[in-house]
Amino acid sequence: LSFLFMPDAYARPELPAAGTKASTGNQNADRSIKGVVVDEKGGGLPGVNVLVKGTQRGVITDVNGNFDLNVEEGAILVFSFVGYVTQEVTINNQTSLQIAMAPNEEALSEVVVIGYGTRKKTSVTSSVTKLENKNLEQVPSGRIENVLAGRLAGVNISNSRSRPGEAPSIRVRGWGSISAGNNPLIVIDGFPGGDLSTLNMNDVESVEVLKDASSTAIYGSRGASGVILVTTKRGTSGKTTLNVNSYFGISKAMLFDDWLTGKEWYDYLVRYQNREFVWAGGDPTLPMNDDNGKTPRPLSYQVNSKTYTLPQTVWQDEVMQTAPIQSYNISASGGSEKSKYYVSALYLDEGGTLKTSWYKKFGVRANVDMKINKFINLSLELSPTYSKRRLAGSNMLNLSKYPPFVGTERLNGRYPRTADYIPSGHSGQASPYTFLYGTESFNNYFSNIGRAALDINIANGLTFKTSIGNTIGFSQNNNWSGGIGDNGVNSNGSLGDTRTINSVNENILNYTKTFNNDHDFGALLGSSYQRTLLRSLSMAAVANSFNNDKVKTLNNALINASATTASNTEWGLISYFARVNYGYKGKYLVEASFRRDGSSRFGPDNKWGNFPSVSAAWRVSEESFLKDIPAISELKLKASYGITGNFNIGDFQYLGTVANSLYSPGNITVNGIAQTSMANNQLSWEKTKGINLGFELSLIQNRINLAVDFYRNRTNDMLYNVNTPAITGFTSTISNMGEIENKGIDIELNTRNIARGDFRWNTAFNFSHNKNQVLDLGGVDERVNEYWSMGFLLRKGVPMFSYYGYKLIGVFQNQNEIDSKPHLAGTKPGNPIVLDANNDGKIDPADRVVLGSFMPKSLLGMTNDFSYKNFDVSIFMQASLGSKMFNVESQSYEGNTLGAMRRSRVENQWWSEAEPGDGKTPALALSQLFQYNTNTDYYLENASFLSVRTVNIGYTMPKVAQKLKMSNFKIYASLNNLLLIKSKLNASYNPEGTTLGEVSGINSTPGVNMGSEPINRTYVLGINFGF
Amino acid sequence: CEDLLLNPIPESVLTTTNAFSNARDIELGVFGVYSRLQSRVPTDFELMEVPSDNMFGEYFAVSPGMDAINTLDVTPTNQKINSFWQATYNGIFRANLILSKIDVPTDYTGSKKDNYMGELKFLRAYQYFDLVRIFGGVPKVTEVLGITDAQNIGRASEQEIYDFIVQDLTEAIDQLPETTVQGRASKGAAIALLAKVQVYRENWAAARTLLERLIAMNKYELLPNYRDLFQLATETNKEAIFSLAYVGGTNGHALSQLLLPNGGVKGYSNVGSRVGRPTWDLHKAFEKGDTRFDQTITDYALIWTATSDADAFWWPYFSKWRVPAEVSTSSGIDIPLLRYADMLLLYSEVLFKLGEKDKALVELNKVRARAFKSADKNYVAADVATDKAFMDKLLLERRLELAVENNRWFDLVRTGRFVEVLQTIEGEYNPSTGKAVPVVRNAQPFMKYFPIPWEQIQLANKNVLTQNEGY
Repeated sequence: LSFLFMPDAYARPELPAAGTKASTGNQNADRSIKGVVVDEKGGGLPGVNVLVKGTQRGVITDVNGNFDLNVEEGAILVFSFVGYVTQEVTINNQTSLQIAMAPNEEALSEVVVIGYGTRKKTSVTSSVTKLENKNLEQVPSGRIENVLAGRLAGVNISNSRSRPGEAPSIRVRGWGSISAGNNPLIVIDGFPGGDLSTLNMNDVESVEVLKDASSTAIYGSRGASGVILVTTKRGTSGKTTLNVNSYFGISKAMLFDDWLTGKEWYDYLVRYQNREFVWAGGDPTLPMNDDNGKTPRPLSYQVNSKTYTLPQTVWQDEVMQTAPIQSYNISASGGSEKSKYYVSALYLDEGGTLKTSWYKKFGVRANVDMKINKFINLSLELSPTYSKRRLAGSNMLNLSKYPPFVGTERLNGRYPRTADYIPSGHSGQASPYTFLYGTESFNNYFSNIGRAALDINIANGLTFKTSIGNTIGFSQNNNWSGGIGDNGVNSNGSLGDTRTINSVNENILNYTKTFNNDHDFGALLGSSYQRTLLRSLSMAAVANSFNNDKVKTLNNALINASATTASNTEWGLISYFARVNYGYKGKYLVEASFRRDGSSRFGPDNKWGNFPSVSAAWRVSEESFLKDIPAISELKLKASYGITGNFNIGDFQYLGTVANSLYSPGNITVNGIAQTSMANNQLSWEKTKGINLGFELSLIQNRINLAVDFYRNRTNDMLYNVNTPAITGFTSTISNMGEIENKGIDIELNTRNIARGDFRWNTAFNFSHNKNQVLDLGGVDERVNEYWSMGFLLRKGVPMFSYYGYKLIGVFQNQNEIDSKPHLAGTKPGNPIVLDANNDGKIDPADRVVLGSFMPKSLLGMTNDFSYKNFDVSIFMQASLGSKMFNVESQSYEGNTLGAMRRSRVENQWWSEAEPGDGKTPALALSQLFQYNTNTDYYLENASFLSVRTVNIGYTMPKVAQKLKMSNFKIYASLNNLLLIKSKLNASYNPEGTTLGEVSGINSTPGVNMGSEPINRTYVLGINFGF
Repeated sequence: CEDLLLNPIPESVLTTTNAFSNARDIELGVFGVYSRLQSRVPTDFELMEVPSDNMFGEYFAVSPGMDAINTLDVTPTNQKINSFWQATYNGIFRANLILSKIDVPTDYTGSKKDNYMGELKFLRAYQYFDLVRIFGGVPKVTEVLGITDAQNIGRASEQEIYDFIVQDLTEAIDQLPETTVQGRASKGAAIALLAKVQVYRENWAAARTLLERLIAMNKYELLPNYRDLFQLATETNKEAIFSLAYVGGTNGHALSQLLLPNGGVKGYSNVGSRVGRPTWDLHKAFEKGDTRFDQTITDYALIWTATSDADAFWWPYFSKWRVPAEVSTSSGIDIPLLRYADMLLLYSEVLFKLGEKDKALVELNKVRARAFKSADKNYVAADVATDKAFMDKLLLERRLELAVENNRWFDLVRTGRFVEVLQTIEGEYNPSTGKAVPVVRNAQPFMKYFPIPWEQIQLANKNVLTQNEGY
């Protein structure tokens, strides 16, 4: 990025050279005018843009601030310079001009939203990242998280499943918890515990992320994973405006193109079966021939020649489609001195590229502010949202791994299976189409945030605010599945309803005052009461009891009593908090906060917790020794420390719970009971102690803004499902122990590279690096959890859930080689040579090594905004470096299951000593999978990527707008996922794709991919106009 | 307000403080112990049949860890042995917990309290018997343990565990009722289990007394048709001394389909998981006319979607547990854990060991005659002239009678025959070449015990849980 610092890059004019006369070819330019432009201190200001209004003519000032230009009488000159207020001067009869430019205070007065308040950006002492919504509503996506992904330093937003309406995961500065979740607290317009899925990007004014412990400590027991504050738009007094934003377009999945079919596929199948037969001690020269009813070799080792003579199908291509996406939003805002409003309505419809899946959202918002009298303000917010989502009947893997000889056309009223062509040896699974069209799985979600707040201005600087808010959420899942003619598939049905009612009352007393011009003082005192009630109900049909597949609701089936439950639960939180801040001459800033939380979720012995924080900043640039250096507009050093908590463990976990346990004495099923968890009266929050050191630097009239933060967060007393000796009757129990550390650096760099005439180029760049490590596991040194024989390691000194297995260093070619080297028990030629890590001459579990982590080491994001006259272009790129995925999906495309094969996955492997492949790829076979292949790093694939996530091109048409009596009229095009660059060794559809969830307890297996859906390239055209 | 928010009373959660307050709660708690055993047993074949010469593993993908059991390359990190350990100790915990609460209720009627205690001790003993046979000496847990205590409990000796089993069963015999419904332990069940335990301990005289007491109860007899033991309509019968009771669809098990061919079986099951397959060794041990063969093994697979019988193909599979199921993965066929034929064969063995070979032969032939539906195939004295010949015939009979009922591995181990038998066995057989694909087991003497799970050794304090020799 060195070019950003080259003065030439923005000083280079497209206009005539400094100080020289402008184009003299203009016949209207009838006289010369000279002048000088000075800054606020009276010094000549070089590089100021001087333009004749309404023309393309102009000059820039020279090193001393002088300019010389030919103009006509009555012309208007426009003086503009980044960081200064633009001035217009009408030329009457002057011949020389002195223009004093005033610094643009806007940059200095920028306000940042923090917990329970706001701060001037310059006064912020903690680490807060702010993203303003500038045209982000033009990025096509069903969820706002996807629009934010990559744009906020220190915030990792990733999509493990590319399905319409899917919730991405959000991690702020890494992973600090094993069992209590790592999701940040979402606060929408001050309401804690919101849900981003209910938001409409068009309504969003700004998003702030509180990252360090000093800024999140005011949220106490919920602040440890970071806090995301969303501020929605509000009305302003004055003219009523109406804004319409709409886009429509298509999505196409990014797919694999190396599928094998026909004879080629058959030939590989033959090689697989021969190799398998040799391993089993069979004679591979026995004929494969399956004619004449004779069985020359055991059926398990045969290959049927029908597999290539039948018409061939690439299932991946059959189950995907080009999908439409569209969004319509209308909003109006306005008001008078007495009342202001913002109202909006949204309809969004996102089709899935996997057939049958889609997502639809309807939302309305009303934000109303009323001034009752001089002292009292009342505000109301309502935002009902309804969304409906249909998911495909299976994940991508089960739909695309099907063998190519099975057709897509229905035969005898059902979709054919492999067994309809060949009796044995292939997948017993039903046709992918049976899953797609025989499954109807819907989620309906209705939610509303409603809130009323009363603001009372008690005295000069003293205000009191009290609010009552309520969110309601109704979620309904309806599932039906059946064989649609294939009676090898059980018909099933279920429904699940949950109702959440979340009420919050907050009362805040706020005081701000400046004494003697130099002493800025602020104090805040507050209390908060929150109660959440959750009711859930689920029912299921007795399998195969649906009378037909015409009616898919449960009234058409028998209800399975043992799968039908209803339960209620709740939690409550009482909080008291206080904060003071003091600033001297805007130079020295200190702030301290304290919160005390009591939660129902914890044991009787540990209900209350304290969460203090302190922070300080020094604006060095306000000191006299820096004030005179014009290049430095702002330099602020800051430091903070705080303690935050995490209470997300579910309700009543401290109790030893007794649950239903079925038995059928006398063959009559009864709900027996059994204790299913251990009691723990001491259960309490996780505590995260965080240190943050940072600086903010602005150079050259705020053209270059750099913010750097170093942090270290240590989470101790983890809510940890510690494994217990099984002789206790339990394999794990939740307790407070262990410690995790995240440390790293966040960098944000915003530059205004070019601002000359009609051309603007701004860049926003962010970089974050996080290093996670386990510091303590509560008495034990390590834990290994296995999935598909890959270890997931918790060990002191390494990142949590690191991959742990054998290091593959080659492939055994023959028995002699096996005999001469340490090897795993039962190793045959074709199996991996693995590293004897402890050099003891044998391979056993002690030779397993750390093989990488699911966590990216570094994240980068860069937005480049260009505008020229009426055009604007925004290019957003994102990169993630250093993570690995356990892509066991790959084995399904290796023909292991005698299903679909990809060329890149089957070639290069070991077949025999004569055909050894590339020497790095072992023999890939289902029979070898767990014992030899998945326990090595063979399926660990580099998940780094660089993506051009969004390219947005807009064209504003003021003349059209004028003609149509509009205030603005713009058309735009947006391309999502234009380009994705990933490692050649990554064979997944989505480098962020994982299917077994992320970190959610001691037995987590993050990073496993078994069928995550492909990423889509989306092309939309949009229109935005207003009155 | 503070109480409302901070100390809400859980509306839908039962806790240990209020769960076991009356006699009905205790009975439900007893069902919870059965429930635990009931969910473990359908996969017991993975540890108790796969390593024997009855079964070989076919499809490992659904069952990590089983590949190693198939070739007897079991390591301490094997997931199968760890989950077996976890499930079994969970069952023992449940029994211990209810026993610790047994005195809380005051509303027991009749002998119910004794009956429940008898059931709990029977279930605890049954699970210790499984543990001691799989691992040798294991930690002896007789009450509810905290974590710190648990980390310091090492392995009791094999003898101590057996003593505890004998003690529990002896008490259970006195406390259990004569008769009860299918699926619950009765006096006969405890006697039968204790007899079996005494055979394993080679306490022949004690075993004889128990077996004769069982027989004298006149409650149990062999069913005329072997097949009826494994049919839904006749699963409750006089041969079943103790069975786990299942109800298809709502409280069923997956054992039926785990052993069926991929693609299911026409008329029975629309799926099959092909996890374990009959070895050719077992297959060829059945004589012609043995009615047990047809129930145990089916040679030709006719999959669910087959359109005619002609579509069947050679693919021998275990069909013993195969019953028509609405939901293939939730089969309702009850699984007998102790049945009378087993007891007669044990009685035969006991008599033989006590030197009464003629009487022993009579008991052996009872089982054989039922299998062949005639006495024609009965053994005569000449067939069992030597002691070895008798034990050969007896173990063969046990093998054929109790195949896929989780006895073979233990029978081979307790008689010391496993090293000799389990070297290379015949797995998949190819009828056209007349050859079978060998499965190399290469059993070593130390393999009589499986390794103590590595995770459990780690979770205990250092040097508390010792590993079995050889691992």
